[in-house]
Amino acid sequence: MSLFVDAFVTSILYAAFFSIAALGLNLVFGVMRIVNLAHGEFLVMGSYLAIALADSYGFNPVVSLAVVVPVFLAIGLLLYFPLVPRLQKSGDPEMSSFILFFGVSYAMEGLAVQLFGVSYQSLQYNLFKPIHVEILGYVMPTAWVVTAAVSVAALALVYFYLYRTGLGLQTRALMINRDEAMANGVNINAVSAIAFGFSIALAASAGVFSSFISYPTSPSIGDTFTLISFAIIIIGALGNPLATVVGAVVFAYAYGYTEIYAANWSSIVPFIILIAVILARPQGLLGRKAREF
Amino acid sequence: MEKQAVLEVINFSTGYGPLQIIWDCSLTVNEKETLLLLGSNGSGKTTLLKGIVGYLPAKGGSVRFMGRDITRVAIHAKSRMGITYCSESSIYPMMTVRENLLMSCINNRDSFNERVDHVFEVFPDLKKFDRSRASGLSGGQRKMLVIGRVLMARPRLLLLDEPSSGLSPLFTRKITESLLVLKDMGTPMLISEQNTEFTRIAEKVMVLDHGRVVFSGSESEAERDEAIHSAYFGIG
Repeated sequence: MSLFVDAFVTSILYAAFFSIAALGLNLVFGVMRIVNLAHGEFLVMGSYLAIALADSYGFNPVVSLAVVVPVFLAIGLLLYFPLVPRLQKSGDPEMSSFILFFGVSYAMEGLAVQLFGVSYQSLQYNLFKPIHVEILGYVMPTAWVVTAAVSVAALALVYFYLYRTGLGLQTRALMINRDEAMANGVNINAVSAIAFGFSIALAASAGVFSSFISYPTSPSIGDTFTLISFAIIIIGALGNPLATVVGAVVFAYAYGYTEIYAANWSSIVPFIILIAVILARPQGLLGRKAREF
Repeated sequence: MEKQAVLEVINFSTGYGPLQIIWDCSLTVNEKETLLLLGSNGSGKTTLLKGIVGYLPAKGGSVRFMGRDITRVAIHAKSRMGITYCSESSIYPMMTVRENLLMSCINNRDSFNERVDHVFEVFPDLKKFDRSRASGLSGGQRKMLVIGRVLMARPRLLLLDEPSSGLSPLFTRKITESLLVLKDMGTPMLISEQNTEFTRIAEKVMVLDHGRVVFSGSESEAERDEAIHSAYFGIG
């Protein structure tokens, strides 16, 4: 019974983290209809920046966010203009984006090897003061609780942005009916650039905490995060940022329980669920309309 | 006194990719004037409007708004100049009715609540769906929302694509009456249609056939033209 509860609680925290790790990928797909295959590499770069800030200045990860978020928001804005508008002029932006960001992904991985080496690095748990947090009788490490709390706060901010601000209204308009949004005066490049910047900043923010909750940081784990994020958004619904949370919950519970009861299967079962969802409901669990594959 | 031209389309050609659909089309919409663009299915009405708005590239000629060449101006910038384009897909199904209305005036939210009240006065049926998603509206209600969004935008020029398609005569009349509200406000309009009910609000009529202008004249001249009369106003 205790293992079952352990898996249940752990999966909640995984779900919070995975949500924030994958959310940006879905935001970009929803607004721009492109797939950022370098999503995981931005997460890794965020992780390296947090480690550097901790090593150099003793910043704990929450403090590091004050640096990581604006830096990666700016990187996203700067990358948007030379890359994305050209992609959208191509005959098949989705496929073109696959190819282009595949290249970006490998370039970033190579850059990370040059800058940080290939060895695994992690933030130290003792960056946080120990606090006693007990969920269903299970005592959680402080770093995990903070990771989950920051993830939930980030989700709330994204919800606020999308549903309570004028910019969010325009962002949703682009997701729903791009042509009509243009006719209503929405500056597609401006709104998309901001969404792209948010997406990169969200990925990097997840990266700040990734070494606590998932894998130690290395240049090669970007692909793993891209794959996990992609699976999550397909399970939830492509193009619907809030459905990411549903996808993350499904993925996290599949991962969390198999990790406890059949660890060898923990990297297989979530993807079997992904295949099942694609076969049974290709539009994703919260998708309204079947996508054409 | 001569009326000022709001929209001038001069020898305009457009189409999809290498396929040219509209050939050397010219038209003028003056202030407070409505031009009805008639034509059968496939005549190029929608293509012409999309070309004017900028969804399709100009292959020749020019488009002028209030004397300014806007042929290559971005679509969102045209909207900010006061040009509103509406087609039957001009709604956001996953947004609430109120959000749809708000999207029509994102760049000018002055007196938003008064405008919403006005829309609900014209279309009382919409009011009860104020906070509901537009995806739940019937076809007729969606058309009302499209026109309601135009009322919200208070455009300086309205380009309206087939507002009556798929509607019953009762709903069509309701739509023309609501367009009369816009006309009373002095809004210049270019309306593409197959339904001659809309001649009630038009001063000028133009007929397109296979992407070319085959008639251009006043509403009464159109009614007197034998070919147009039999094709669009019924044989009699």
